[in-house]
Amino acid sequence: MQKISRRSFLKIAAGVGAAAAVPLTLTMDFKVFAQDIQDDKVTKVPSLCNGCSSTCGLWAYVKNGRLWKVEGNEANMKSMGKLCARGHGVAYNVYDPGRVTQPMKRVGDNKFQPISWEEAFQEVGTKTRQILDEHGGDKFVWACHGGKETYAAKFLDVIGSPNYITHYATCFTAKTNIWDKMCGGMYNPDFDNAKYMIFAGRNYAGGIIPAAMKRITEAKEKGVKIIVVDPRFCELATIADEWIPIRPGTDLALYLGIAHTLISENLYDKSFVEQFVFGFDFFWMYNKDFSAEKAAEITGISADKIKELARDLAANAPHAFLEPGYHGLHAHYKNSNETAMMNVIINALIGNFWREGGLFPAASTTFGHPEDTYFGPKAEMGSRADGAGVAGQYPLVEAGRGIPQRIPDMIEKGQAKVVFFYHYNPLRSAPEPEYQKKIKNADLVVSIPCDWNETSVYTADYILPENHYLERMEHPKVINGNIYWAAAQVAARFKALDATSSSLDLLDILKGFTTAYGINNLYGFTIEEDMAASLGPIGISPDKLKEEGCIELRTSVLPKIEGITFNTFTHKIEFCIGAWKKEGFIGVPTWISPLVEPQGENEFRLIHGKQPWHSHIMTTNNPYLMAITEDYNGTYMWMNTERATKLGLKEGDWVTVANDIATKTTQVHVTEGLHPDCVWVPSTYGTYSDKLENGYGKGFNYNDFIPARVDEKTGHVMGQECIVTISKGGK
Amino acid sequence: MEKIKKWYGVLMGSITEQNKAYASLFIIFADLFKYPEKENYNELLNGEIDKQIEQLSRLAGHPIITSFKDEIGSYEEIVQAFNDCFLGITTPFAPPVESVYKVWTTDDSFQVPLKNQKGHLLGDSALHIRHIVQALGLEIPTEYEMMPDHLTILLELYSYLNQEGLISEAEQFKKDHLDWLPDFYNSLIKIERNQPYSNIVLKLNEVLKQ
Repeated sequence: MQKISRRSFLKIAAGVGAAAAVPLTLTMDFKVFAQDIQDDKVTKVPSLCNGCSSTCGLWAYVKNGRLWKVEGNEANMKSMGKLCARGHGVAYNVYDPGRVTQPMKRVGDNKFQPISWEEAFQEVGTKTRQILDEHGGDKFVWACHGGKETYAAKFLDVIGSPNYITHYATCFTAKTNIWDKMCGGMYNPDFDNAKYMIFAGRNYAGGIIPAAMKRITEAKEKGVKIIVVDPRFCELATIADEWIPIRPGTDLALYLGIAHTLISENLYDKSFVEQFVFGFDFFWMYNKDFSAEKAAEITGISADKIKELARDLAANAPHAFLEPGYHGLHAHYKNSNETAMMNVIINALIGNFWREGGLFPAASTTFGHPEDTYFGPKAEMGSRADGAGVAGQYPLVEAGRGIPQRIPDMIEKGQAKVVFFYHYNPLRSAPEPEYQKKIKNADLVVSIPCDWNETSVYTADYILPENHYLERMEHPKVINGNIYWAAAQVAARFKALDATSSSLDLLDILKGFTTAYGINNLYGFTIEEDMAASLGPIGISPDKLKEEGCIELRTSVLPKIEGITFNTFTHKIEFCIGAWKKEGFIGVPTWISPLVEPQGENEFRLIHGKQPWHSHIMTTNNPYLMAITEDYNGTYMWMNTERATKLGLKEGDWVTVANDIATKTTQVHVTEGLHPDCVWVPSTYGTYSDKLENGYGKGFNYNDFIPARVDEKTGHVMGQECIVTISKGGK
Repeated sequence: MEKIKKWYGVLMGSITEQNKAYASLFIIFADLFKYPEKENYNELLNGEIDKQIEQLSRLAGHPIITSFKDEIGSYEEIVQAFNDCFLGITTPFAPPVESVYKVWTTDDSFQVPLKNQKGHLLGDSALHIRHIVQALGLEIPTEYEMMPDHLTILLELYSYLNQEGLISEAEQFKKDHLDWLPDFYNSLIKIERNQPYSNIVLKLNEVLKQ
């Protein structure tokens, strides 16, 4: 009989003849086999959680090549033995059949063809080469989450593209930009020794770092006073001594009022300011009339309370801090930049930098690098397509972070032809998804995800799946930041689970792609060699790191009074930013009103935040975490009781939320725990890739309602400058 | 010969024409769960697949009649059905993978919540298939390492055992690893565009039950 054409999956293994008999090693009976493997040993392998960007240390316990348990690494300064719900949930994603299980090629709208890795590399490499040969290497964009070695820089360097773009403009770019300009980098709070803590724009119990919450809770037990300033009664507020429900968008006024009190009542640390501050007089000249009373009118917080905050900060200084904040304030208001500046200024006024109970820079170290293996030609570097750091465009924006929300615009203008998205899903996490969908108009879009995210489904010509973090070894990381810790720690992800090559790690993906592109030996090292070369200069062997999971280096950041210097032009904390003055701005913060204000009876400012069991949009499809959502009505939109009553709304009612960009429906949570001017939604929901079946169609996302704006100074999206109207009904 | 005796227990059984036909039949079914290339589509459309199934099943002593040619539309439609059923740009979808339809592990020592659940990859059954494949000196494609118990691989393996005359092993294999097709079918029929795949599963189950 003539055989029909077919593509057999099973092959005789290389070097092995066809079996002539049944091997003795074969256990054919499934029940016997399943029983036998129960005797396998449990081993443990260190890794770093991928549930958010905190990189908490964990141990993956492994039995017969599969995940047996995960637990926090006691030695890691982020986890201190604990993982949050996200950490557990995301670990289990490894067995999710909804993963992209092999490379995919688009063959039509919402239609993909599974292809082999070899085919994928050849097609993507060849097409990229053809496009860049015609239009130039600077038309290539690498867009990613950031904060992780991506190896992309080597390729960008060879083709002459400066277009490495991260997601930070949608997250906290105002903070990092401003702190770098004013004091040379980020500083972190000393929870263990502070006597007084103000948290504004940061909810450690929502965007959880387990060790931070452990230490804040311990501080609370010691009697440390904790103040939470937030329009919402957030999770951290539940353990605070006081929750101050500020009018959203007015934290800058509060900070100006506090600074005014500190200075006008002579409560500030004059010695510290004289020694370590540049531009104090200039700042005061512009703000000497911005009293606590004026701040009270804007914030809705009484002048007495504002003065009390200032006096308490001063009374406990330097064992006190205004926590530097995170996502909540630093990409979301027209005044986010000035708010970040005032955070630096208040902490400087109480002189808490480098002081016990105050703020400290992150302890760090420097890794080595594998030797270069590519010595071929390199193209001349082009100019950034997003304009970040470019004179006449966005000169003050950090080029290292970029302006991701501009990618559709760059494509439309022909400035971007080939776009690779790595671990980044702007169609859901960047403003205005319908606008972001224009990304598909690029000549070639490649997505490197784990799951079928919206960017992959709607725009990617090819999907090259990266493996789960427990399936791979990675370049090591310095564990630091967010929390004061006197010594840097070094940790890494090691391959914990059985090797499966349905998906690959990023280094192997880039090796395959660049070879097909025509660049030989650009990444002429293995991940093992990369790790050894990285750890070499600090005297740690990969084996030692794998054995211990996390290694702490010698103590390098301790409280000090002598020898304090800041990594700025004046070596002081600069209250006035010179780069701003050069671009025609004042250089010091002054009051700036929010861009938009709710006016009518049914108008609200739409704000958002993290839930303790989700990590923005990246966990929305996790069945375990979504089960928590179901238990707690997690998709509900919060609304102040008084405002809800006026609209005739009660708990669980359906409402229609609308503005000129979008109209969505959702259910409301009616609560006293929210400022009346706003409604609050978790940043998690609104999945519209129906391949993500656990999250699909649940709730909505704030990005649906905001345009892709670009702040002129730091490039952020002003994500909470958004007014919506709300009406009853609409399911 | 001594070395062979050391490593191998049961010598392979004699292979009859009936075995060969039966084995070939499952190769044809295995092919139907791969991405539909145009050539395969044409073979479905012109009735060649139905004809081969009819001939092979008769020779194998398990006669069945199929009419897949009447159940497929255009090439674009079968590609869409493959996407919807197995890749799933719409939900729900029904991955053709045994682990998904069985409890992940019977090893109660595991401390992950999925241990007693269905719906996950790389369950006990996948480990068993990986074990069988390796023991027989076979290999599966790199892209399927995460799902060695993909239906195509199971059917090719079942075919291989029959082809090699390992009849009792094949029977054991069928009992252990091809018993989930009714659950798979039930998942498929929840998908709007489930043809021709739901009918293929029905016919496959029919011939396996004979």
